[in-house]
Amino acid sequence: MTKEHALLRQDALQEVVNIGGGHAATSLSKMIGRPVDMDVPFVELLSYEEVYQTVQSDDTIVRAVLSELHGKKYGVFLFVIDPEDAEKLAQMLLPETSEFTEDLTDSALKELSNILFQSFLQAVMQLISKPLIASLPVMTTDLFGSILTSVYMQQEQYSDELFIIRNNFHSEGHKIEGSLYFVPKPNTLELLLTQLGI
Amino acid sequence: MSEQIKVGISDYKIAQAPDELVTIGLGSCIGIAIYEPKSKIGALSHIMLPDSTSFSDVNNWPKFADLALPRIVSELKERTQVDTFQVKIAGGASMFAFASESATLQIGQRNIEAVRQTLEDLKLPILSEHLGGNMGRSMFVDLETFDVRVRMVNREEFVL
Repeated sequence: MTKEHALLRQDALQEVVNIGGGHAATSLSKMIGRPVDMDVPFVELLSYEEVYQTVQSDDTIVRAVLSELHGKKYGVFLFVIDPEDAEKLAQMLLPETSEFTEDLTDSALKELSNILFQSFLQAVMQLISKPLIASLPVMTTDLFGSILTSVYMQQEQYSDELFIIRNNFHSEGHKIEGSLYFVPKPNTLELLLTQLGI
Repeated sequence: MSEQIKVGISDYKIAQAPDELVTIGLGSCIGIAIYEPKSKIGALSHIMLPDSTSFSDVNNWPKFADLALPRIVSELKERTQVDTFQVKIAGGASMFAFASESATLQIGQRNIEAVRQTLEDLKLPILSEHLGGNMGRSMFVDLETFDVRVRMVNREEFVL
């Protein structure tokens, strides 16, 4: 592969993540009834240590929602959010008169993540004209380090370096932030690039 | 002054009391604490994968249970001039269990089996363990007493 070709592939991936993330941000904004901004998509190969230093520290407690792609098992979506921000988001979604139990917050967060994943997918499907369905989400609260390693292992990404694909969303300045990750199975990105003719 | 020595993922460290060995964020990975009580020298290993045999690149040997444990044990033998050790292990969770995934495919479970088997081959009995489940763990190994504190999110700390 020439250097130009490698760069082209990187650009193409970045653009796919940009389009998918843009769709997801729009859906999120509609749901919570306020503007949602998105950072430039993060598409990089990093070691675990680098991820913990630059993306998020391994000892941060986060809520994480996971959903896998049906059928060929191309990979999983992961939505990661600070527990307090998760509560704030749930409050924006639900009527003010709701009694905010943990169960209610959890199902609001799951639903919101589900819509993020589906809208990201919808945008990608339009690019590659292929049907893609994400499973019902599962959720946990744990250290970012435990979650990240387990998800990469589960997707058979055993290398010391991780391909991190991330959209960072924020609202009301940076008062509420959440990150959408896609963790591919080996070969998924190859398939995607082939579909795009690159 | 005692120092806290952090063990990263796919890594191991050997240290002596009064220092403390720590590893953060064990999900499906396993932390293996190996200890020699007289010298109060101990090791903490953070393995990610059960078996190196299907990998061509095994330069990063501390990542694999089957490679890491024998090498760490022989390094400990050399340092302590003793060949019996105490062992405590924690980790091997399945953080997200999808219905479609059978237990045999789950990496946490495979890690548990590989660590048990490798320790048995090395004739090192496991003194205590905290394994499986769906929660991540962090390990804090006190090399003075060989108390191993297992910390989890939203759960009581457990001492091995």
